[in-house]
Amino acid sequence: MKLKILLAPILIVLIIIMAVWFVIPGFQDLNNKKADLEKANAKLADIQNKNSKADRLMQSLDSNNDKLNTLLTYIPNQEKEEEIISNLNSLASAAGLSVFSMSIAPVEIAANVPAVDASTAGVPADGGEAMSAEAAKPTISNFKVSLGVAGSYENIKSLIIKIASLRRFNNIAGLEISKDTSAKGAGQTSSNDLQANMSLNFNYIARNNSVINIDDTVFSGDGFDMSVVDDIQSKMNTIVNGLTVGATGVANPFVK
Amino acid sequence: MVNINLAATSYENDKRSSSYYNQGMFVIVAILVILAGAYLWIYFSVNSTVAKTAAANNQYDAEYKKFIGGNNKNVMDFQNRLTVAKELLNQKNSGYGSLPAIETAMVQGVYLNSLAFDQLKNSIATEGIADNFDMMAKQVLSFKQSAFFSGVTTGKTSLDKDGKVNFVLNLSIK
Repeated sequence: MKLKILLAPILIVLIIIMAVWFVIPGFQDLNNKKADLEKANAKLADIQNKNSKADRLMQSLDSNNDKLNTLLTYIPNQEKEEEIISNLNSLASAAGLSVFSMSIAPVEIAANVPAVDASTAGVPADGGEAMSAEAAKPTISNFKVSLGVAGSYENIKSLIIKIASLRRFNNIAGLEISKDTSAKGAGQTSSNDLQANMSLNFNYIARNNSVINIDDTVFSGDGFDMSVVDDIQSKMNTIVNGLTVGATGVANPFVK
Repeated sequence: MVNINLAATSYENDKRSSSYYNQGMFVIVAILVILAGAYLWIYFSVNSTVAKTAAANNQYDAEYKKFIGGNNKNVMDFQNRLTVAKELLNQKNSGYGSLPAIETAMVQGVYLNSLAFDQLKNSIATEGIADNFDMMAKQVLSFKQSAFFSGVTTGKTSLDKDGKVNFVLNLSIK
């Protein structure tokens, strides 16, 4: 009878203990775990969606080879200084100018754009924050080309216009035009005896510096916005000519 | 005389309280069973959810490896170039516009000996020759009225042996 009297309160205490220590925390834990699962599923669905969009973007790239080439000419993946030398020389010759100097300064990395290792970019499943768009920006390598030409004002202007519309990005960092006193001596110069020293900025983006940013809008959008390539094709009319080496091999490198 | 309680109420009360007790116990045990069942359900649900989360994370890792590997680098590379090209194409370069601006603003009879455009300073230093100071002043005014320039700073001026004015002007570009 005494046991019967004690059994009820013991069971009630057991109920309270079970509810407070096991069931309620367990339920909260379950809710947390379900939230984690939802998060994991959302992330998975997102990356699956991005992967399928990336496949479509790749197909779009394959079918727009000419636009890819235009863009790679405008911002190449290598310095290609030989192409610059060749093109500036041929543009100056075509403009009726004589080139008296040309030099290329060493490459400098754009200071405001950090270089990021591609393998560390993005968001791994086991944690870590998404790489910011700023951190995932590509590294731009800039370099200066100095060009000295001699000729008439009209021809210098014509060359500048041609360089401005070159299908490889460049801009004028410095331009000095002065009368060429060395030609005939001071006081005997004409308007056709001018010297122009230009300092031109060129750049390139190395391919391996292009990091993959999982949050980049390109993987969530409908495709590439190619309008800039159309602009390059319509505004930049001076074609960049490629260069071929031609015949090579001589018996004596010190004899022509 | 032996006391004999003939009243039936006590027995009925005992019977009733026993019935209440049994009902109460039934409810308590039922709650206990429900709680135990709920705990078991929670336990297995948590395990199952954790397993599903782990599977989703593993699948994510595989998809992520696929994402950063393969051809996506080309996609990103192309997009990066598009973004940079857009910025560069819209970049203002005063160097190319400086010559037409100077041509337009030159006063007839005044000519330049040299000009030097500097992108960092966003200015053009000019050395010119005018027939007299009045012409030079007109040239200064013409540059000031040009939409291309924001300011004109007059530098050293001197007369050469022919009586012409050699002047230095520094033109700030807008």
